[in-house]
Amino acid sequence: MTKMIKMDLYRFFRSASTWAILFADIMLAFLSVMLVSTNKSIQIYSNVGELLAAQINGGMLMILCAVAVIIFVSAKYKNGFIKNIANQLPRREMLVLPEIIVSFVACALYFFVYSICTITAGAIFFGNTFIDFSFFAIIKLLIVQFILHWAFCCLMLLFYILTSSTTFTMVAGLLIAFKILNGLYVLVERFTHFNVNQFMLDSNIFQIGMYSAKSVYARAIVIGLIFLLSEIVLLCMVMCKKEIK
Amino acid sequence: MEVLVQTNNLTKRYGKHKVVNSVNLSVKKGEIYGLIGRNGAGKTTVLRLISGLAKPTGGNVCLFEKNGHDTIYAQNRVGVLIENPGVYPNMNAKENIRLKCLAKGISSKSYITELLESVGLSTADKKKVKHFSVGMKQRLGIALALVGSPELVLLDEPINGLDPQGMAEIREMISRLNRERGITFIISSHILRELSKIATSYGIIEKGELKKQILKTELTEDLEEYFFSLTGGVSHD
Repeated sequence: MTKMIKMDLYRFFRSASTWAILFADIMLAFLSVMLVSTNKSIQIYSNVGELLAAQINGGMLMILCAVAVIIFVSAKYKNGFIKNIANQLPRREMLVLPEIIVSFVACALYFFVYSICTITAGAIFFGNTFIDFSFFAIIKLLIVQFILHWAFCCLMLLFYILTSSTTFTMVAGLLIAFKILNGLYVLVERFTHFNVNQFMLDSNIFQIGMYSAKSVYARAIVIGLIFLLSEIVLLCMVMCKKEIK
Repeated sequence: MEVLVQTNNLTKRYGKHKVVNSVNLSVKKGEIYGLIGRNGAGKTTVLRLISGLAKPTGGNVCLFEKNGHDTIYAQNRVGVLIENPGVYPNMNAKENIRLKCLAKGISSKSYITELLESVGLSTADKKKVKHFSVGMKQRLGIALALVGSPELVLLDEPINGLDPQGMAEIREMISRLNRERGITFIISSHILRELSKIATSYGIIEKGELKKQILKTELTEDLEEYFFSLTGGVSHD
C-alpha cells in the first residue's frame, strides 16, 4: 500500500498538470484580490479572511481541485498503465486508496497555496490592516472547507471510476460547482418540505463562512465525513468488481 | 516439467455472448507458448483472464499450482503486456519503469538501467515516450512487464504494427529472455509464421474455443495448413 502511494505521489509531483493547476491557483488568488481592490463598489469585506471564505464559496478552488484529481486519475486508466500494476496487488482496493491519498495531497497543496496567496495579495493591495483577522477562525474555516473539498474530489473520483469518462466527470463537476444542483434541491424542498440543501456536500461548500454558527460548522464536518466515508467504501466496492481494460 | 498455467473450463461471457468457451490450456515452465487465432477469437480475453485483469464467468485458472483465491498471490510472479503498452507518453522510459519499480518496492537505480539495456532501450532512456516508435513502445511495454523479475510473461500481439526488422528484434529479445532468464512466455498472435519462429508449443483458439494444443515438434506441414485455415490463412511470410 505504501509502495502504491509512493508511486502515485511520484507521478503527481512529476506531472505538468499539477504545476499548471498550481499556477492557476496562484493567479486566481492574486487576481481575485486585485479585482476586489480595484472595484470600490464590491468592497464589502472587512478583512482578508472574509474575502478568502467568499472566494472558496464561489467554487473556483473546488473546480481546480477536482480537475487536478480527474486529470491525475484518468491518465492512469487512459494510458493503460493500470494494467501493469493491477494484477500485482493482492487486493483491488489498493488501486483506489492511493488515489484517495493523492486527492488529499492535491487538495491540501491547492488550499495551502491559495490561502497564502490570498493573504499575501490582501497585504499588497489593501495594506496590513486588511490582513488583521482571527487566525483561529480562518484555520477552522479552512479545515472544514478542506474536508468538504476532499469529499468532493472523491465524489469526482467515484464518477470517473464508475463511468470511465473524463468528459462526463468534468461536466458533472463543473455543473455542481456552478451551483446547478441548487435548483434541484429547491424542487425537492417544494415537494417534500424537507430542506435537502443543508445536507448536501456542494451546498455546504457554498454556505460556510467565517462567522457561521458552530452548529453549521459541526453539520458541515459531519456531512463531509459521511460523504467521504461512503465514497471510499463505494470506490473500494466498485474497484473490486471492475474489470481492468 | 512444472505446469505454470492450467485453465479448467475457463469461460467468459459478456451478456449472452460467450467470448471464451471452456478453455483448457496448459503451459509448462520454460515454454514459449503461442496462442494463435484470428482477430476476435478470444486470445486477449484468455490472457486477461489468466492475468487476473478480468474475472471468469465459469471455470478457473490454476497459476503456479495455486487455485481459486490464492492465485491473487501468484499473480505477483506474472508480467503482462496486454493490447498495447500501458505507458505515460509525457514521461521518459526511465520514469515509466521507475513508477512500476516504486509499486514493486524496487529502489535500485541500476536495476532500471539494466532492464532498459536488456530490451535495447538504454540509449533512449531520457526520451519522452510520446516520441517513441511503435517498436520502442513495445520494448518499453515488455520492460515494464519484466519489472520484478516475473517467471511468467503474457504478451498480447507484441509484434502488431511492426515492420519485419522490428518483428525480428522483438522475436530475438523474447528468445534471449527465455534462454538466459528462463522466463516462460505466453504470446498471442494471429501471425503463425512469426510465432512459429520462436514458440515451443501452440494453442489454436477459434470463436473462444481452444481447438488444439501441440508442441513445435508436432508441427507438420499438414498441421501448418490446418492452422492457416483456422487463422484465416494469415501467414505473413
